[in-house]
Amino acid sequence: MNRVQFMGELKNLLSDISETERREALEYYESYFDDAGVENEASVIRELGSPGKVAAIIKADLNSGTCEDGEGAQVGEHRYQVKKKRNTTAIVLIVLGVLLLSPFLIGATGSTLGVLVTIAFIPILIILGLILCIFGLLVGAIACVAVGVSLCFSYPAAGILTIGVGCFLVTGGILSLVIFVWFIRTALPWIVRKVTDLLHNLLNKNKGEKDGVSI
Amino acid sequence: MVFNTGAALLDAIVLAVVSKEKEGTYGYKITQDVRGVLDVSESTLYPVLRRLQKDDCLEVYDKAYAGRNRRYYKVTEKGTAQLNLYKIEWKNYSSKITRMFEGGI
Repeated sequence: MNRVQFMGELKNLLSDISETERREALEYYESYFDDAGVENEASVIRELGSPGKVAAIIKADLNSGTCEDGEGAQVGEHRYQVKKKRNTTAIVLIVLGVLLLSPFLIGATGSTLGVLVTIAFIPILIILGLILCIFGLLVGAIACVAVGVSLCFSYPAAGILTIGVGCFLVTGGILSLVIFVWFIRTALPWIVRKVTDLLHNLLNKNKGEKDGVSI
Repeated sequence: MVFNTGAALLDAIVLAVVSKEKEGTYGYKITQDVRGVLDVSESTLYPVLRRLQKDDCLEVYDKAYAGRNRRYYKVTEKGTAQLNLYKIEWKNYSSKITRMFEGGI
């Protein structure tokens, strides 16, 4: 992007502010480029970021600084008060909105809770399933071997087959045990950590962007 | 910088930078001077200048330079008063913090 494209795009983006403000801003940036010189054009554009960013900063300030105030010594404080007043209005609007929407909100909260509880139960279900698997397979294996040994006397072939099946079941049981141990020691702590991080991030999302112009 | 620069501090710094030039100074130079002490983005300063101008802390005039008009900013009387207030506030604020950091309360 070069200077002409940058300024053209900025002009378009500022089309919804007053004629005076737009002209002021465009003149400022035109002479900014002039003063920086052709050799610095690229670095100025890089530093400014996108026309969108520049336009957003200009508009943000127009929206917050519309108060004309008389006393010079009060500039900072006055602005602060205006900001606070707007916050109160916002809170009132939010409360009204919550009241109006409450029937939907209760429904939505209910189903969200349901989903969350189900998700919380998944690990428990997996653990239970694995325990049942281990027990089932091992009991089955013991039974098979016992029956197989006794069958060996009457029908040797069938007896050996049954013992073989028992051995397979033992392998299955040991495999389930290994998965169970891995799940408890590795997967479960990982899941818990991820979920805690997620909740933590959601709760703290708005903190930290509150005061001051972050530069 | 690790510390946030609030709107008032930014106003104070811009007023201080502009007040150094008796004949007034222009946008690009102000930006470079402020960036000499503070890591601000180039796009941050236009709204600050515009606001100070609207609050009558800065006055502007155009002067021909290299075949075009260049807009100069100059601190008004009100701007000087405001800057002095900021300086006093800053002295109070920073000395309290320094005292706190370096031992006693």
